[in-house]
Amino acid sequence: MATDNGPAPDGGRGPSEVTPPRDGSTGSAGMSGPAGAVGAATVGAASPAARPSRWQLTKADFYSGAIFVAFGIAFAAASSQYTVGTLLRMGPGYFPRLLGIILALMGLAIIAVAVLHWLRPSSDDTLPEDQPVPWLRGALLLVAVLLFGFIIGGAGLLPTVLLTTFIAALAGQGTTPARAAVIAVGITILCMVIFVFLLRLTVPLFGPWVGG
Amino acid sequence: MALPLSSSRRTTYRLLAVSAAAALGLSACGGSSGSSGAAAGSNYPTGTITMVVPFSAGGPTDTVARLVAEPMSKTLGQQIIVQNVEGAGGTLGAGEVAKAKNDGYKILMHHIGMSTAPALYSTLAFKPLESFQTVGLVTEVPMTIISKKDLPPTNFKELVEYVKANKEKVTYANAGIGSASQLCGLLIEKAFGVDLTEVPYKGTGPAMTDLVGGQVDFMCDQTTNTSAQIKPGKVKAFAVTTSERVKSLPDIPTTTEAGMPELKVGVWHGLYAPAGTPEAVVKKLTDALAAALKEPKVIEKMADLGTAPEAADQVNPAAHTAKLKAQLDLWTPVIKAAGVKAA
Amino acid sequence: MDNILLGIQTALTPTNLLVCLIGCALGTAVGVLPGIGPTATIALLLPITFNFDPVSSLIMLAGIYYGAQYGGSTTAILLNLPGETSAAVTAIDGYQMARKGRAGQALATAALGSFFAGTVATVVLAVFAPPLAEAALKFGPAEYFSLVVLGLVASIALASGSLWKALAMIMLGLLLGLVGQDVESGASRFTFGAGELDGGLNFVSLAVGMFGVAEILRNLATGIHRPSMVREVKSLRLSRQDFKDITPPVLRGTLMGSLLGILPGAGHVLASFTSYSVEKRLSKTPERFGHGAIEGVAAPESANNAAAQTSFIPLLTLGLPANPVMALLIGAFIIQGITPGPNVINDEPVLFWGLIASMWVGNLMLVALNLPLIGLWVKLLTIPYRVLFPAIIAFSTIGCYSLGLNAYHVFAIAFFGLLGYVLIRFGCEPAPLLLGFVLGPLLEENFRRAMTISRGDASVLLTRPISLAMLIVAAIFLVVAVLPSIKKKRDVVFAEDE
Repeated sequence: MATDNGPAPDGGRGPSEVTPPRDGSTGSAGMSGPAGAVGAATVGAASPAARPSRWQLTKADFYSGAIFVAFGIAFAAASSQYTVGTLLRMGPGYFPRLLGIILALMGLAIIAVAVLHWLRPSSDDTLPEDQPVPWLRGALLLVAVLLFGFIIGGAGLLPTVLLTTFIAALAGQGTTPARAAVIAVGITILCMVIFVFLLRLTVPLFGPWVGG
Repeated sequence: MALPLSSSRRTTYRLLAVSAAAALGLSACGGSSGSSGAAAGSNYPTGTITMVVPFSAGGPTDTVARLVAEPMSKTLGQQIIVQNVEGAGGTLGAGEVAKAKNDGYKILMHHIGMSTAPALYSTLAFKPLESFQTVGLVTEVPMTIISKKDLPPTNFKELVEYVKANKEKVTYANAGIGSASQLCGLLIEKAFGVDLTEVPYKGTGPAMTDLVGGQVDFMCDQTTNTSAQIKPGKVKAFAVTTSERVKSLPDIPTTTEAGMPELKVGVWHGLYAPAGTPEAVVKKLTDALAAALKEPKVIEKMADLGTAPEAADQVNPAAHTAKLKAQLDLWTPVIKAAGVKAA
Repeated sequence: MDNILLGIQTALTPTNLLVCLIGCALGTAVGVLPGIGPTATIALLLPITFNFDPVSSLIMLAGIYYGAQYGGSTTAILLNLPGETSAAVTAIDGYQMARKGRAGQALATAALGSFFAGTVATVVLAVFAPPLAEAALKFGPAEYFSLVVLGLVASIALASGSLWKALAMIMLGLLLGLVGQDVESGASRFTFGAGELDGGLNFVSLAVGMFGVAEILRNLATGIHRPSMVREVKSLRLSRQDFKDITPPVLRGTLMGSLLGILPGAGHVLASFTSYSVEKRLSKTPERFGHGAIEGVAAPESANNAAAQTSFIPLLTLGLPANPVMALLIGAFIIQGITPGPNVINDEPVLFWGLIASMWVGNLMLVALNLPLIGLWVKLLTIPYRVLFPAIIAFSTIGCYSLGLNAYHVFAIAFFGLLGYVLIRFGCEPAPLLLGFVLGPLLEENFRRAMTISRGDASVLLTRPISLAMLIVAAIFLVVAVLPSIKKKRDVVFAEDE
């Protein structure tokens, strides 16, 4: 699984990422994720054999809690530019500010539960699934989607679909550029048949950039 | 069910074959999905024309657009596709046409919102008078002032008294920022001399639902939306906001008859092309529009909506531009005074 | 009785049978394609129906609508790619069933459940339409607010993991639902000045991102072509046990869907979410939910299809649209020269009863069409993943873009794909977020509207009987949901103290 036979380079995968075969077999307290060092410092190499470390058990909670806190604060802060009003006469800022604060508090609650958990791990805890992050492949995929949005207005449907599908296909395991091109052409034809020929979508085939 | 995984290329091919077959099958069923390859005699038009409607499909403006698009296609000998580009109170769709190539292949069906946008939006991607070439007025949909069934007043005079007596206790439903119903509400406030408690909704549908259900007291909306509820008596109708009575609702007096001639508002629709569109092209579009508005089928269907095509002398760029100017002058101060802002 | 005969006669004319079939087939097809929903399809096909007579054209458009409800579950089950609000619920257990090699059973359950629900709901529509429509009008802003609260409380059961995370996901969803122009003040909230976002984020982008793209990202990490899904498909048929398992959820889902579907706005959305929550609550083994419980497919699919049928009630009896698709159908009525409203049932009996009868015929066609297709759909899974996922991306982006030619809906796919991937990785499930997203605006709007109408008197929520009843039920739900978890926590604490 860790070996990649494809040319889609895997070098992008986070260097700190430890792939399952390496730490799964030994059951060591191998850290993964960028904050692994924190866990290592606190827990040390304490837990013996097959028991996952405290950090491994709780890091998902810490991270997700932090994400919710961040979103909550962001929404609450952004709401301050709108009129707040009162409970009975709400302005556009009231509801989002209230929800933002609640969300931040919930994020804190998740972190608090995680801290308790970290202090007192219980015996029946199971390790959450922990796969390697597909940094490069994922980036290719998301870039393909974003690119679609950026160029569809200028390039038109046909070039856009061809290009973005090609980029997306490159993210596939073991897909060479040549294969990706074949896949892209095939999918593009399929899309044209369905969306243009059958559904008569009103998106122009060629945009102003390509003389459409 | 386990099928051996074949090579990528073969599977791609198979996928294509299957989908192509499916596509053919579907298209055979779809049958009459329009013939695009029509004979084009003169230069314009030689291809499909896109008519942008800056509102959602199925709404009143969309209905008007589709009603005229079909006969216009026949006259021009090219298909006109109605495209809904929604968002930001119709300003996104309008902006799209404003920056389109001025060759007549992308045109815009817009309504009264063209004249209110500059007052409602601080930043606009277009200027109503400068970014567009007017083609002609299409129709002006009258509005009706209606209330829930069990509101005490029985005629327009009583309604005015009732609203004046109960002031902000009376709730007025509207279909959101910049909607025709909100604009009419602004004129009502001015004419009645009261501040209404406005209850905004996302669109006419939910507003009408709550009015029929008796949750809000009254509203003013296009006959397109109201006549279905007026005829069976689900709501009370007090007045129409035009200078003459509406043919499909002959029993309802006009606001002028009821002594409030200043309360006059109609949702006028016009067809636009991007500024700088060649005169010959505009002429063809105008002629096709005028012909469409004379079609008995269009007249009949507009009558069902409680409206009628514009008189023949209004279906031209000059009359359209004049109307647009007058409406800009009317709405800009009213909206600014009311402090309504869309963004 | 005469009316029903009239309807059946109308629906069974060769022309109407044909347009019904076309509508259903098209609906299934667009339902299967992610992104392109029934709204877009009906908008695209409206001009074609000009050439038909009114009854035929509406039969076809209605067929597209409920056909799409049918088809929407297919990609949700096979690819974790819900194209519709309701299919997001189906994806929770349906996709897990597919992963376990039970895609055939999941699809069959969806088809049969939908057929049963569609049949019942059509009868409901035929018999009770007018009184039900009147009842739905009793729902004002206060009632809707309480209904949404009830729905949110009930949805806590959606999550199979941490309660806190599920609640936080609902909150995040509610907040995301507020993006766009505020209905009352016109302020553009959280749009970063982009007018394209004034209309709010688009549900399909959110669902495709949080479910579909996030799943692709996960699969890219494992690098396996298709994790065990294909090889393990043994049988496509439902076993006797399966039938036993799905019967009660289908019945309950049908009931809830039929009732909730009548309510404009919130009803259709709540139907599938609520019925799923109810099944999970009633189940003796709630821990199976989220891991491929067949009941978790049966209930929301039935509820969804029942609601799809009964959402025609406000349209046909009152001329009031319950959702955007119905608003579009009003346009279709008008173009055909029929003013939809309370008069349709009397003035146009052929249309009214013909349409209703055609719905049942359509449901029958859908089952006949879809059951044999299951084998074919499952074969979709044999397409190598490296070909399949770029196709999913292509379909999703085109579909979302075509909704309003708005590139922001495409950007949103990438954003929510990433967010979904990260959150799922950290043990947060996406379904509660989607529910919050749909209900957020309803919650805020109806509360503010209720307060405006009552002139700032919050007691309306408690003095209006329907509203009060729903708030009481919500309170009971909350107590039932929270009590055991508190008790359990205590037990754990004590156990650890020893």
